[in-house]
Amino acid sequence: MSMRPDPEDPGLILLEGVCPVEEAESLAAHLLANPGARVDWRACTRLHTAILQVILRLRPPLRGPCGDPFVARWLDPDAFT
Amino acid sequence: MTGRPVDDLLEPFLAEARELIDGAAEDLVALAAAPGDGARLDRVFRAFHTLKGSVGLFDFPPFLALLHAAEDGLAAARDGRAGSGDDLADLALEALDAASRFTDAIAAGGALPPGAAQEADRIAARFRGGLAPRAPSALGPAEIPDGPVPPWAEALLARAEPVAPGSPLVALLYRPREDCFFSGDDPLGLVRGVPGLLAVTVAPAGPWPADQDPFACTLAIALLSAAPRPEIDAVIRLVRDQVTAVALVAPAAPPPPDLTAAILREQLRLAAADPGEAGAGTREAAAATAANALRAAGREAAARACRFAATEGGEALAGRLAALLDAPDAPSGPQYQPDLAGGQEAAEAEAAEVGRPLRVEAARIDGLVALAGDLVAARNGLAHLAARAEAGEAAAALAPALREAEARIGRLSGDLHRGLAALRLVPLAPLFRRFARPLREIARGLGKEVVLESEGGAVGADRALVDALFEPLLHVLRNAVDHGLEPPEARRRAGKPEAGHIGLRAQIVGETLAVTVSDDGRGIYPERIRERAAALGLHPPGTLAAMRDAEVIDLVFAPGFSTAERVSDLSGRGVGMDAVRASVARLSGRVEIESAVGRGTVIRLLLPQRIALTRIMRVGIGDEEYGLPLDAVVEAARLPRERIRDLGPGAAALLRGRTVPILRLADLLGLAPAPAAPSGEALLVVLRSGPETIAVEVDRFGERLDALTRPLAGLAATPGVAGTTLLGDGRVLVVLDPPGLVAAAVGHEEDGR
Repeated sequence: MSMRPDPEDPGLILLEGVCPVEEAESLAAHLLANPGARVDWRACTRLHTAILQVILRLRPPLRGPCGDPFVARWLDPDAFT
Repeated sequence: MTGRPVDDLLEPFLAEARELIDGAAEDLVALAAAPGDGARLDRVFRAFHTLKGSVGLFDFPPFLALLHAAEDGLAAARDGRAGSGDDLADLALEALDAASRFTDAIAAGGALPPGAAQEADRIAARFRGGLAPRAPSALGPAEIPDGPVPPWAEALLARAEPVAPGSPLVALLYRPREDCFFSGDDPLGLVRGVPGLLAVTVAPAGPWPADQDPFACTLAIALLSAAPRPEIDAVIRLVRDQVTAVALVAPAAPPPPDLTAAILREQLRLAAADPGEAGAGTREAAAATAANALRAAGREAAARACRFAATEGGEALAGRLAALLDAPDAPSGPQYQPDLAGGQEAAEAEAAEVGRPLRVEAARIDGLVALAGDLVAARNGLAHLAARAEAGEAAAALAPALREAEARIGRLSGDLHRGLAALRLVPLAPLFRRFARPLREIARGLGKEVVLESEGGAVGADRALVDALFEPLLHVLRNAVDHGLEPPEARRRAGKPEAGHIGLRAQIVGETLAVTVSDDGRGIYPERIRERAAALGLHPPGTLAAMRDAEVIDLVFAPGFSTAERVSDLSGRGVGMDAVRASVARLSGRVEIESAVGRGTVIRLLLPQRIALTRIMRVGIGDEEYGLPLDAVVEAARLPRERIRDLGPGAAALLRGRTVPILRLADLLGLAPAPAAPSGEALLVVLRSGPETIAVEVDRFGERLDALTRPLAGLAATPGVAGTTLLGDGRVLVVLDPPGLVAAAVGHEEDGR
């Protein structure tokens, strides 16, 4: 389980567990199709570079902190909002 | 370092130094596994001591200082004045690593490498600091040439976590290749493994393209680390071409302004008052207050560091706050050292290779000299025959003696070649030892424990082969740790020891060198591979269902298969394995894999031990001549044409009780059909490759010869061609590759149907 819309809030995408490279495309497609969509990455345990790149480019509002300790530790949350 | 007498001493010194370093490294790796082994510790101590004595004969003060400090540190451990655990082993290995590079530089250019003094000082300081992690360097900023710091590195320094001023730092700018996701790379995943991180930034490498492809990597990752350069190099080794490195010296952090300092002191008191679990609430509040104060003072990195330390516990937070308050007041800007590692290092390595003395047992040289003597005697026999020919003796009478002389010279020159090639064989042990440190780093970065056990280090292989094996093997080992081994808690649940076991074994089977990497991890689930292969469209689901599990597991080597991190996470393996297979194939080898779910995976690299002489049969087609390796030739036969049955598009004949398809070699090679009318007899060479047997029709049979076959880069992609060999008259003979021919023949048949 890695990327799914919140069942109670369709405008919120949940990133959970390991988020692998293949999901970059669906995440990008979803964010482009739903400009107001937000991302909750608190339950994500490991983020692939490609996913981070999508977030960096499309800058959805983020609900954090990121659950991936490396991202939380080293990357500046301001860079993503 | 100029006089002749010193030069005469230098060569034996270099040989001795390399032996001492290799021996000590072996002992240290073992010592890290069993810290209590006093005998080993003693041996390591003596190795450093002897090496120090030898280095003292020359004028290399930093080298001497390095060894002196290491000797003192080891003596303290031996006498029980300091621990002899992991830290000591790591530090001593680092010292050996430096000593080895110093030795190589001396061999190549008679001098220590640039930066040797600083490196020696840094390691020596850590030995003197009672093995405290990274004691501040004794190095003064004046020793480092001034220079502009690139803006990206400056930005990193600004956000870096506090570190002792004057410590050497490395800043890296990593611009991953745009297609790196497709080759299975996760650039941030790599950065996670960099030791001693102080700051990381990720930013677009340029303006975002309007229609950005999510699978094209267009990021620039910058990072700052306090780890020694070799440790960083070990991690970034495979992406070296995409990384720019700059050596820096940590500037002094300005002490926090008074108000901030007062706030921090207060939070430190709170955090230290109750470091236990009960104080979690207090701790979090203290961290938040400290972080806000720091952020207000423009110290973003320090603020983040505080917040993170709070999640690690009261002690971590207290330590962090104390470090911030302690920041000494030494005004100095960032200093810059140009990165000399790239081209120069390669040139030095090459020079070292050219001038590298080879140690050979006297008995082997004696054997070669005896062979050369026999060869001279055989030549004399030939001179005698020439005289008989000149005296008018009939050719028919001379022929048997000439044949015999030819056979004898052939045998002797073959023996001589094999003997000389064996001199180039080097043991694999030094290669194996090079993995110990990167593997520990990788495992540590992943929160795993790993025990590397190597076997067969005494096995020898061609030096070029050993050098070329480093990267593919590192890749396989990294995969084994990263994806093969389960995290410690999962291993515990599965009833396995928490530390994963990785075996690295070399053995010689016939003329083949087999290097095996085994892990006791989770293994590969064939079903997952089937699903993934079907999703990727590698094979139709029906085909996949019919494939045996072993064939399915082999698909992890299929190009494009392992681009997805998910595969490796589920199946336990996969990142970039096609690259491993490709580089082993370039060495004329192959890779095999076996896996048992829950028990682990074994990957076997099978390589030619040396560049071998192959026995070749020459065949002619029209005006052309080709060579066929005799080991694939079952027989050469002359067959009356009436015994060849025409089967529509193909032809076949009954040979020794079995039906063998017959193809014209000219057709397989795409040559123009022979102009001459077929004679009544067909000349067939029966070839075997695996289970397939085919016969190829040629126009002429030629002689057999021993030849050194070299793969040709330009012809590598030509199916059916193995390489070329140089003939006695200077012509180049193309040597065919029977498995490739057989595959092409099978393709022909199917096309015809």
